[in-house]
Amino acid sequence: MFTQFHKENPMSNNANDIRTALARAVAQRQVPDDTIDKMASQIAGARFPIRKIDICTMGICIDYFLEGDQWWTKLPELINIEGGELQGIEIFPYGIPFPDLHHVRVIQRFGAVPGLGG
Amino acid sequence: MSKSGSSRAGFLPARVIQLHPSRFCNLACRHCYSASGPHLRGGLTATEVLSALEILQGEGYEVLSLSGGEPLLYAGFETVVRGAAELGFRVNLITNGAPVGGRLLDLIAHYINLIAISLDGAPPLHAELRGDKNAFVHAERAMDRLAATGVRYGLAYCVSRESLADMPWAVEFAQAQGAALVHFHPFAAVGRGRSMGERLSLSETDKARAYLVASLLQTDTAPGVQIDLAPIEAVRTEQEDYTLLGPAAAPDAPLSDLINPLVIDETGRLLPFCYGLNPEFAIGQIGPRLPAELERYKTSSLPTVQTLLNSAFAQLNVGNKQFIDWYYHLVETSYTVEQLQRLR
Repeated sequence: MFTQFHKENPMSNNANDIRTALARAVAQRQVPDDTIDKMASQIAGARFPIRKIDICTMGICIDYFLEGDQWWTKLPELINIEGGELQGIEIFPYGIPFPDLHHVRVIQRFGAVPGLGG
Repeated sequence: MSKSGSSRAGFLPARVIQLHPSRFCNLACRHCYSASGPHLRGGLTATEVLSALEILQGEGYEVLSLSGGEPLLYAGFETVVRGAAELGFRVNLITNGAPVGGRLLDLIAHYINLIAISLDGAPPLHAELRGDKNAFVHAERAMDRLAATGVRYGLAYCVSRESLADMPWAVEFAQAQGAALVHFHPFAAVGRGRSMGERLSLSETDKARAYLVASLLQTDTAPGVQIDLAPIEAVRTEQEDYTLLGPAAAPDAPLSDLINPLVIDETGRLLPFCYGLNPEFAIGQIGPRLPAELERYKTSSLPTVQTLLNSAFAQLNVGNKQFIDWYYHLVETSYTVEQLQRLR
């Protein structure tokens, strides 16, 4: 479904265009309810604040901020994606100003989300 | 926490008074949460409002958000925004846009920090729900005038079952018009909207769609995008933002530490959190007895609002909720099942 939208919109050549095309497909109910429900249960069940939902070449990304000196112990919970397929995880330490703050991006494959291409 | 407003209270970073001074409006929208309209005269006087604001400024509130009714048609508008600004409030308002122009535009430019134009969907749906074929034209004209005057403004877009599909359009439209932000708020079946629930309410899957769409529309180039829906687990984990209402609630704490936002409705009633909340939870009434009523509330009535919050958090576990409009949820929780049935 997502790939189809991308093909129908040849100007969709940057990340913002792709995000908008995907937003339109979701809003206009062209992505099936069960796909939305799977994404919803993952997002709604997240025990850590979601900072952003994004897309990238690998799939749908959910960005979190983890704090504290035991931040890494929370990773298993983040990557346990029920009904989905983990494609990757990226960790960005914030560095000197916020030594205990880490931006963690969990990427789920498009193909693991029926209706979003892949 | 302090009266400076430098720390959080509730889920909000600023301490906000939502003022609904009158239900008078040029429109009678079919889903209006306050059931406002052209025949509803009356409301609060500017003197009453300013007396209350002076007291509440001392309770730590720092933002005044004007709604209604149509706030630009409120007889005391100029006196209230001028006085509120002099008291140090940042003043925001939400309007349908029709009155924006002339002297009101000058007042907006001078006193208003942020103005939101309300939209209910793409032009045909907006016009139908507003009961005015020119409603969208008026909103668009207001945006043009605000942009030409250099006023920062945003769109307040009601996401309903029928307007969900046009959320991306709303952001593209806002971007083309030069709006600074788009605030998506889910349709709430309150006020006149209670009779529209079957047609306009979002299903749980629709709420998930709306949340996902809003998230995807937050791009580098678009206006700021915000939605009044939160993942349910995130709401649970932020429960500690209300800890001041726990057993240790201090009677000497400023009201803004305890109740945020604070609502003043068109009858002068002070309500916690949200317009339309069960009046049984009222804090007091603007007027000469307000300081004493606030004192009494802080010393003896806080457990009732604490009970309401505890119920609201407990209700998160009921049904298959995944995303929640917290303030609408509080309104629903504040009524018994029998009371809700009577309201419907």
